[in-house]
Amino acid sequence: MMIDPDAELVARVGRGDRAAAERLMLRHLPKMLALARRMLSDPAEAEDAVQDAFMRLWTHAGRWQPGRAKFETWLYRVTLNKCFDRLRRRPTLAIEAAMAVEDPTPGPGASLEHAALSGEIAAAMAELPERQRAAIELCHFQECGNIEAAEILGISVEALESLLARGRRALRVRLMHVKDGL
Amino acid sequence: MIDKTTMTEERLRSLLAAYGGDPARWPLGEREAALSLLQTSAAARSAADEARALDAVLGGASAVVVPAELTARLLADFTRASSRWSLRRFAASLTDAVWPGAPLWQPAAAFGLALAIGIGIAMLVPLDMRPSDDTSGAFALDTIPANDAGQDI
Repeated sequence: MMIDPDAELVARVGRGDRAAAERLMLRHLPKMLALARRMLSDPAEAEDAVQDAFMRLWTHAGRWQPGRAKFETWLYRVTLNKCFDRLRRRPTLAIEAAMAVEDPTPGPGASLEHAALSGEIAAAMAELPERQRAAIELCHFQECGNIEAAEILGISVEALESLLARGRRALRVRLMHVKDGL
Repeated sequence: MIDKTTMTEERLRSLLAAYGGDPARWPLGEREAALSLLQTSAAARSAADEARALDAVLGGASAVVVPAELTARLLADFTRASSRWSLRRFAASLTDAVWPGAPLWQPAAAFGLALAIGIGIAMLVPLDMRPSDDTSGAFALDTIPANDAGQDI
């Protein structure tokens, strides 16, 4: 039997409990926003995609059936699908734009050098095809297990590994100038 | 299908290429065998070092700071959505009281049908629009009050 750490909160959200909604949001929003930012390379659009995903959560929480899927896996899938929808509706964003919009509110202590590296990573990620970008995002940045990441993307573990390997190979080439020996 | 009982250098290279050099990211079922091979193979260790170098660069990505305005927007959405559910729940409880166990559309359809029949009957039955024998209303309108008599209009 799968134990879902969010099951109780989701049930309370379904009953209209605002405190539960706030807790659930604070638990998952940073991860979903990070995913959407790297997928879309546009902070404003990323916020809109995350808002769409949470709206779906608020309207579906009352019908949530525990045990069928892990809540976080479902939320990742919804957020990712909102990002894919937006990517399909727009022309390709210039890589320079991805660098320019990366991390508009750097945390305290973030150095200029760190911000520059972060921009390089964002630009390299933005160059990847969207499925490879999603696979790298889930397995590397979100630290999802391979089975969960494959489930979120709706593909086999073997297909996930292929996306990851191609994505990492492209990132290595793109980021070679950042560090010798890549 | 991946054989999890044996680990070859080729498979370890595939793992490193896909998941990077951190064993915590490797598939659980293959982790132990992969770590054993790493201890015995210099070539595998070299491949792992290469993978870790990329991991280290990717680790330089900034953490996301969630804007307060976004959390406020999401909570406002929750408030709107939950007030809609409250209305729906109220309608459902009312339905259950009137027609237990029935979905909302059944009593709504019954009410709509009753309303349509009522309107139909009202349209078919002719109304008598002639003035009644009681002319007190007409008299009152035709009568000029005594204090207005003789005033210029």
